[in-house]
Amino acid sequence: MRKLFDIIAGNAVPAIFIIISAFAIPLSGYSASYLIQELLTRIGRNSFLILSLLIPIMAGMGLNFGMVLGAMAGQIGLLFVSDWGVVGIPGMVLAMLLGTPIAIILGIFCGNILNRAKGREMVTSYILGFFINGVYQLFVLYLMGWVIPVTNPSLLLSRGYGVRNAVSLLGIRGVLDNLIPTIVAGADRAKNFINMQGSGTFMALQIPCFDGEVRIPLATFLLIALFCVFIIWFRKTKLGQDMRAIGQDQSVADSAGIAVNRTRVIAIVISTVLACIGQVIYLQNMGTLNTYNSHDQTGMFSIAALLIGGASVSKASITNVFVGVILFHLMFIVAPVAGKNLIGDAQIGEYFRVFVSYGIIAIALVLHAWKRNREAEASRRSLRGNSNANREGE
Amino acid sequence: MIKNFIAKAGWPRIIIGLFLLSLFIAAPFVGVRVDTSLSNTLVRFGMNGVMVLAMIPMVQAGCGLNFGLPLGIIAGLLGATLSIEFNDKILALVLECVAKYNLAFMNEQFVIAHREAIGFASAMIIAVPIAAILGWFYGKLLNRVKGDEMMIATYVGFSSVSFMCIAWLLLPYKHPTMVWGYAGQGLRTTISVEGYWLHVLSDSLAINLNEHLYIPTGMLIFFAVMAILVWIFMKTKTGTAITAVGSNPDFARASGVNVDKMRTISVVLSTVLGAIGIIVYEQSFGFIQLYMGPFYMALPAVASVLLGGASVNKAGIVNVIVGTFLFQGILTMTPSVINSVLQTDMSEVIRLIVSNGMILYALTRRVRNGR
Amino acid sequence: MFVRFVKFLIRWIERLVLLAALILLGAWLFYIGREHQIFLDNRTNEDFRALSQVNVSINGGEVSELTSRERDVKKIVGPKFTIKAEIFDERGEIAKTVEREIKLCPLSKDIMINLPTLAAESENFILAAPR
Repeated sequence: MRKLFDIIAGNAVPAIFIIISAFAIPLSGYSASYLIQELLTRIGRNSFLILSLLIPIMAGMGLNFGMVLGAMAGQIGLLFVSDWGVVGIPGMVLAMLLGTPIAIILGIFCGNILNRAKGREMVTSYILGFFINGVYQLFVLYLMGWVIPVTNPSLLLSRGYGVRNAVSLLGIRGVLDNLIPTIVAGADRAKNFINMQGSGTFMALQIPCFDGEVRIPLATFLLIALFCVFIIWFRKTKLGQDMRAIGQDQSVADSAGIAVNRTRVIAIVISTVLACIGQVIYLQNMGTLNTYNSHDQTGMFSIAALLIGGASVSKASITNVFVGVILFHLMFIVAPVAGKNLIGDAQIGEYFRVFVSYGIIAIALVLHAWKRNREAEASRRSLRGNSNANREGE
Repeated sequence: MIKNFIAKAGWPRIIIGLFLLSLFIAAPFVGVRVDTSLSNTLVRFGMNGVMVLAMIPMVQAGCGLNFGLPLGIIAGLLGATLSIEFNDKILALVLECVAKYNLAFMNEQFVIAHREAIGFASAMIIAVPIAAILGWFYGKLLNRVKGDEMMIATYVGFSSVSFMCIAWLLLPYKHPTMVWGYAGQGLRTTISVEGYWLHVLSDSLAINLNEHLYIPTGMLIFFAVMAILVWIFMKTKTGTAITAVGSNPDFARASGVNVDKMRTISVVLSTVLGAIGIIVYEQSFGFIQLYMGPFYMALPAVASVLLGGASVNKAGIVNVIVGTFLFQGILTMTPSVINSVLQTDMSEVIRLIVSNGMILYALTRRVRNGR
Repeated sequence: MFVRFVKFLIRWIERLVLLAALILLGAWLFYIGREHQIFLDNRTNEDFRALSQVNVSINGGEVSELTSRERDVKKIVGPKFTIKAEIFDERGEIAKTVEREIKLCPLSKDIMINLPTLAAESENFILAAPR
């Protein structure tokens, strides 16, 4: 019986999601090709960010809400690149290159703070996110354009200093996605597409009787695949093994001679840098940078997606990432319109998807903590013998 | 002796205290009136005080800082909205009771003259049971997740606020001042309490020294009463049991205290105080904020109590008073003074940095035992 | 002791080299990726009179037809570009074609090319861009 409960609890979250989606998709009235297109775009856009969460979980540090620090670092890199007018792939890479040292510094700061709050990493990284958000705003709203030179006045607010809220990233919009243009379509559209391409690599897949067209951001997917390979490789390195040991049991790892604190900081630094890169990829797809808002929901949505994919606070795999991003974004796309068709108010669909995002994190956290407490109590009970089992204060 | 004070108070607190003092001193030089600032600070103190008080029970019981305060706030919002929706019916009910039972000083004129106070009281009377029930379930949940309370509290808070967003749209409210104009259904985002119980506490017994200095005596007295009640409660048998559970759960259990029951009581008390607190806040602020309004409301309360010297597992009345005053003082003074000096509005950014910095400082302290 | 110190030094040298390589990479990206605006100006400038008509294309792109006093702006990515100007005389025939390959200093973002000066094959046709 217990085993059944465990199986259900382990897969409850993705299952709930699949059921909700099964209802909502037909309600929304979207066509299959539209959904597939949207999903592929969103997978390309968000996967990198979600993948950056894997390493801290491996090191036993829970969900890294501090990934928003990396997002902010990436945004600062993008602001400079925007200001200097560097475009195309060089622009995107330069933004990542500029953001990385900032991400490293922020990651070291975050890692050290988390080391001082062992056992409370998640709340601390959550609050740290807000704190650094304040510092980021101080930097971007007051120092940029004043102490930090900004040459392009269209980036600044009318008062002369401080960056505007909406910064156009036209220069690097879609550069990674469209690096290798790929399309899956019926015969006519495929031919049109092929004719429109100049030189350079591209791919086209023809499917008979397919009315729509689906564009695939192939280069982005290749980058993500590369990153997955990196993660798999990293797990086998000494550093990776150290982190897994720490994740299993800190005191045992410590007595085995692993530099626990330093390794934890490294885990956070890696995660922050990856979040920086991931945010640049995300924004390159969006095309616009909302200086003060783009990073807000980054942590929330990535963590929700990961948890929806079946990951827990102490265990997450690459499969969780992709299952999660598909399920989460499926609901994301479909909920508002389904809500509108069902109740006549799209706002309800919007609130519903916000509720589900937070609710899912709450449920996942509760399930994880519940299970952990039960296991601790079971081991305590086995140590004490059954006589005191009924006095456990229940 | 000074060294002792510094060690006890902690450097961040002292720095912030000095910062606040310097703002008050600088104020007249930049054209900001000290008496207006003082009034504003006192008003904000009264508004937020009870919600900060709500932190004490759970912290003392070892449940951590109540990031799930929005749950209590929602109970308070329900009480407030329902008190307006059924305002007429409630007044009629009270008048009926007064007519049936001859109570000492309550006659019809009294009731009508004090309809605002009755509305306010009705909001509380509706909210408290709701808060107690919600708090009870919430407490049971927290008992299953010992060790991760704060994170789960945060997300329980968030989920319930987003859930209520849907509810506010769908619940069958009908009162014209609260419902959207042309649709006729679904509550508005902000609802004014003017005409119902605006400033009921703030204005009663208020002292108006000159046209700038305004002391909301009523609200401050209410806060004092609440604080005294909490203080007395913490000294009762239950209260001491709660503190015992928080400082050493195993010892408490060995002494025969039902740990889970004490924790649940603390959560219920915290949620109820949250509900009362938001109603006090609304009567001063003048508006009921629904939908995403309560979303981040736990953070100022948490930051205030931490600023006052509390830690993650120990909080007292003094922490609440000192912390709320410092925090609200900074929130009031910083915009006015710095805006006059720098011609710019830095208040939001400073608020973010100060409040979250304070919470971070507390979270990274070494804990004496447990955890 | 000495060996440890050397190892320590080598680690730091490796890091510095890596850092230098990244900075160079960043500089190179800046160099090849920067977008510049080329302002085309067909105005009388000192000794050279405005041309009655000139067709200008940059990097073989869209042709801009500029009559006297007209201006246009084109965007390019990277420091090098070719400019091809076909100058028409009063009768409407192509009198001269000037093709140039120009390399920009990456620190200057926008430049203005004065077409009459260019047409006369003089050297100072690059001016600062208008604000």
